Amino acid sequence: MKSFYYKTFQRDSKVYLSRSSSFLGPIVFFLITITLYPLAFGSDEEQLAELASGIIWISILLANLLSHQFIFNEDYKDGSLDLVLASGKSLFVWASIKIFVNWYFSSLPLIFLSLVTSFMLYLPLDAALILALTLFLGTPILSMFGALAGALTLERGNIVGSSIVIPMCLPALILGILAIQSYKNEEVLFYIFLLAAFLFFSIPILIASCLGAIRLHFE
Amino acid sequence: MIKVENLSYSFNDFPLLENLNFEVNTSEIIHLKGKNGSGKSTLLKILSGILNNFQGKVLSTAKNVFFLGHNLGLKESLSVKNNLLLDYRFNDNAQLLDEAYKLFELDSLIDTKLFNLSQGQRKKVSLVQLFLSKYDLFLLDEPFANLDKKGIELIKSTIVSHQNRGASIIFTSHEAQNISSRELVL
Repeated sequence: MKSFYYKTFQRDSKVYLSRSSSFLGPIVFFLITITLYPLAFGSDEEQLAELASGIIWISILLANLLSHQFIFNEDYKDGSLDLVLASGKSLFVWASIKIFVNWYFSSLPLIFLSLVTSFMLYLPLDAALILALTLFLGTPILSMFGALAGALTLERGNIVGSSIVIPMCLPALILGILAIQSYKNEEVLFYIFLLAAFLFFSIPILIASCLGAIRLHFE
Repeated sequence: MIKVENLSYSFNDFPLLENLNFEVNTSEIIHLKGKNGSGKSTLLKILSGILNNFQGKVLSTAKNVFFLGHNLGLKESLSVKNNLLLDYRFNDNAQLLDEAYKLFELDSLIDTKLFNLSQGQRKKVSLVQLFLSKYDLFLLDEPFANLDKKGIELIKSTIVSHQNRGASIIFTSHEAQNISSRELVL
């Protein structure tokens, strides 16, 4: 018999795949935003290369905002969350799977796309690889903060969640951008380790916070 | 199976359940009755562990609990088949599932996405799990709502078969049902 957690993974994956807006939305948004920046700033290679890390990170952060409401909100509205709470299974593992699936469908494609678009913004190859690494470490943090915002605003709209999640994501955004900008120096490792540590400590704290926020709606 | 002692629950400082005391024995079917807003659904949520900020004691010996709420826990964008197969309560008995499709008249709809179904058909999809599952305790909130006569009879016989297996069932319904061992009025 397939486990509760494996079914959660399969079910969420199928829901994302069956509802194209949930994973295509962030991709389309990201591509449009990235394309608009060169139009706004002109095609000066040096200027675009200098701004590229910030442009990509900010675009990914904004694209992520489109998907965080999908993590818990639908389960709350359609009664799936009631069934999970009644199941007596570990909510921590359940929430981790849901956030992972959200990251897999919303952020992972953006990481690969960011590599492609980084060349459009004249980012050197070495910096582009650092960009990909920082996004691998940073986007799970964005997903977890997004999940927390979604959990806090289960009955409210997306705008409230977005206004909560953006300030919380700033440290990850700043560390990511600093790491890319210092790709030629040794400092790059320092920023990457800081980002990795941020991710490492975020996992238990943010997922437990998500569960606390969900529980608030059942008080 | 369940012993409730001095159970009280308030919602936004409004006392919804006050000092409830009752027991549910093994193989018993309880019909939970009461006016709208009397706290029937809330009581089922407390017994299932969904709500836990209550006063009093709820002692249960049930190893597993099947809960069916007002919201059915189904995914609109998934097909009937995927909704059933990927429900964690599904026990992977494919043969019984085929039988259930026929019994619940869903055999022609297995690949249909849920948003194309009527309320009654959605209810039937959620009740297939009730038919297939082997739980100790079933907490069913309005299981007969939106069902036609045939569907109601099918659910009644399913509930009775679970009772015969040794499970306890508590259900809410505004209509009188002739399957309950006793009624509990809130």
